[in-house]
Amino acid sequence: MDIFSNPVLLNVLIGVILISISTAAVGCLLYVQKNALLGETLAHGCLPGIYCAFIFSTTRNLFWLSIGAAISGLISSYLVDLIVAKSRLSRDGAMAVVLSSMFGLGVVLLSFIQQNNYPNQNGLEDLFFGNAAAMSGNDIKIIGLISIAIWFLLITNYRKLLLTLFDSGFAKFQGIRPKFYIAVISTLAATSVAIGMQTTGAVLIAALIITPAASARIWCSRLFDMILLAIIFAIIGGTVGTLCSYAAPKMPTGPWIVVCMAVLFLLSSLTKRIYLYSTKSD
Amino acid sequence: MTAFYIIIVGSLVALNGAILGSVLLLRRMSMICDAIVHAILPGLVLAYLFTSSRGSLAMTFGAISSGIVAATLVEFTQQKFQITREAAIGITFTTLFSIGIILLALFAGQVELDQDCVLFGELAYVPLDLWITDEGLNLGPHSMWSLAFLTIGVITYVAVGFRPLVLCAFDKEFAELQGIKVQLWHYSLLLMLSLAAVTSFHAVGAIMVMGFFILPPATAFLFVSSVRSLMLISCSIGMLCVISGYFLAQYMNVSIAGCIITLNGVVFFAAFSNRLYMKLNPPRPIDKTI
Amino acid sequence: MTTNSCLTARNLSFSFGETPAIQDINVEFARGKITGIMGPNGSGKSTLLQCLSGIIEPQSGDVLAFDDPLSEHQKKISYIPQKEKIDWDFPITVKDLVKTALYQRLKWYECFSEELLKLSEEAILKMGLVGLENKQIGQLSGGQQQRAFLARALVSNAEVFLLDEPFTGLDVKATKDLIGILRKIRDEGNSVVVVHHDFSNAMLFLDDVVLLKTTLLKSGPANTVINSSELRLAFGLPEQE
Repeated sequence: MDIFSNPVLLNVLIGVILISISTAAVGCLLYVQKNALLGETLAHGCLPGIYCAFIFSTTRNLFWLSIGAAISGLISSYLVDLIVAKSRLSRDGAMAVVLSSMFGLGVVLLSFIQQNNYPNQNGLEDLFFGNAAAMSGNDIKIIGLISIAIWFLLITNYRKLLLTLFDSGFAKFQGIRPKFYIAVISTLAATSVAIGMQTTGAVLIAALIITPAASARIWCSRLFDMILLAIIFAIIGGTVGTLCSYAAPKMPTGPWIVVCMAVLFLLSSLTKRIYLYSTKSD
Repeated sequence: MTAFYIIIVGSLVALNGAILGSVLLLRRMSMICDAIVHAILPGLVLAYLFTSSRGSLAMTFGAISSGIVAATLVEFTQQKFQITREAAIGITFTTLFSIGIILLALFAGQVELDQDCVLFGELAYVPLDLWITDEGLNLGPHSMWSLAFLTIGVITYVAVGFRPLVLCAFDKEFAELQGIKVQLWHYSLLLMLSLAAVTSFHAVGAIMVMGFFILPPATAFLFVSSVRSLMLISCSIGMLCVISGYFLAQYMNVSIAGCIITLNGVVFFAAFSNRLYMKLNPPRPIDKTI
Repeated sequence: MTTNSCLTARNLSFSFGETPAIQDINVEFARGKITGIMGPNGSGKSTLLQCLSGIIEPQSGDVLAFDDPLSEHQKKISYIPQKEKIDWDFPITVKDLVKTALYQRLKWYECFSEELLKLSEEAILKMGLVGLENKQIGQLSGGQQQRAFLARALVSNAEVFLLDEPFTGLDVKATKDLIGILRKIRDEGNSVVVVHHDFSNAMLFLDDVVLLKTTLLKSGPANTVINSSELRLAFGLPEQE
């Protein structure tokens, strides 16, 4: 299986790596915020936006779909915060409410699209499980641009984000508005989920956000190290997963990536336990 | 008659969802519900592969085992690997679900489980799967009967376990001191959830089942003050949305289950907005001096 | 500045929804002293401290710092939250914690200069945390945790140190060490305000005490307040014969 002679595979690999870097980094922020499952809520929350964008633009242009997804995702994130702030419902309940309502709405929109015979609708169902193979060169360019924007925002605001997440009171004293930076994190999360859904699909994108971060936290005492390690884990898991899925015909890519990342998590945890055990008996 | 069957089946799903869902909401296990609903997939696939039958018993067993495995894994990963509870839930269900999909794809030739149907179900097909006895007596859809039995089971379970389930929700240590086996009730609840999910998924699909568990109780929770009224009002909201959702879906020609869930969502947000409005504009006492 | 008070609360009130936490508080905190805010549970001690720090806005009244509006001297006030309010699982080391106080001096592309690194090293040295710089904060002992946050406050060039129940969970030695550090900070001309709950050691290090039970009951030198009848009133104890 020569990677470089198979342009589709190369495309998919590049796309997966780009996406995994963003989701891993954002995932670390959500992890320390104790908000790891937001990825799950966002994934379902993005669906209505994608379908609406499709209906309005009648194209499957990734750019418009991503914008629709990101807006819808942001609205979902905002609704969760609103419900938590203004009602008795816990965060857990609020996320589940937004998740299921948006999913229901998504299913309604999808059935509407299917019943009304819109052109170009093939492959919209792929958003549930991902269809990495459908990534065109154009898609990669769009994913690349959006990823660079995400990384740029992260790098330029890193210290402010760290302060906001760790001690928002102290952040206020430093002249940082915590609410604004929490919104930045939500935006970054919604955007990474929006572009990532193409590969792993809505159901599994949460794994790309949570697993590398959890694997990295085991080893790192500093957020910066954690983000770097998570990115490394994500790239490895994404690459191995994609290659595995191409080893056999008709294998979906998303699930393989998730399983590989989970294996990495297991290895990371076990190695740490062995390391702790061996240093203790010294 | 079709409409009748669909509404009955939908209402039974809503009833089960409302009762179990209320317990889950109080115990802050709503997202675990999401996880379990996804995690039952590998169990279903394995059950089919081992028994080569699409029989309900095999599937049910597979789903329950899968659900218990998922629940155990969540506890295990959280404690042994020192990660946050949310991360444990996320990693467990995505991995199990992925394993399920890979198994499905690996044995694609043998498995008749239609991917779409398993996950999204379709209430519209319910009247097609009728139970007709040898004498030619039409007893209605299979789902209706399995759901009816499920409902009896769920009501019995919650009635018997009302105190431990609800008490545990508020104070785990106190419950343990009282001699309540907290772990037992936790796992049995997840077992019931897996059972309810697999029984309902024929009709509404595995993922949309979650909407029935979450939305009516969350809506009722916004303004009730007792657990019993939480359950009663959730059941009413759930069933009303099934009926209205069905007719709305017929009119708009869209997915019935999707419409029901969306309607549930709309009702939730309407109730939420109303509560918000009432909070911001509390009624002023009538000025009698005018 | 030649004022005698580091912080002044004027007609300060704050309620959580319907329940008032503090009402009409008027008190001056003396400069260059260690003042304890004391009172029974739920008396609004933390709330008062948070209003003084500027973290929360009072619903009525205001706070002065060195006789000027609080906002003018915000940078000189440092606030160390209660132990339970801090996320000890956060991946941050002692060194990084102290360095966060210097973030506002750097642009996003700038790294820490020799000068700034030295500042943080000095603060760590002063707080006796040498050797623990690379430990994640959750791995420190209770006393070390308080000192790490104090090191952060030192680097910010704070002149007023507000600590919320810093002695919670500390053993006898750690308590003694922390008292020693607070005295050192005061002796350098800074002011310290602590929410404190332990009357047995209050007299050992507090110069002044502010007694609170939603409203101000008494304030003044420690031995006056602690031996007063208002104290017995605050805790619902019968009048002394």
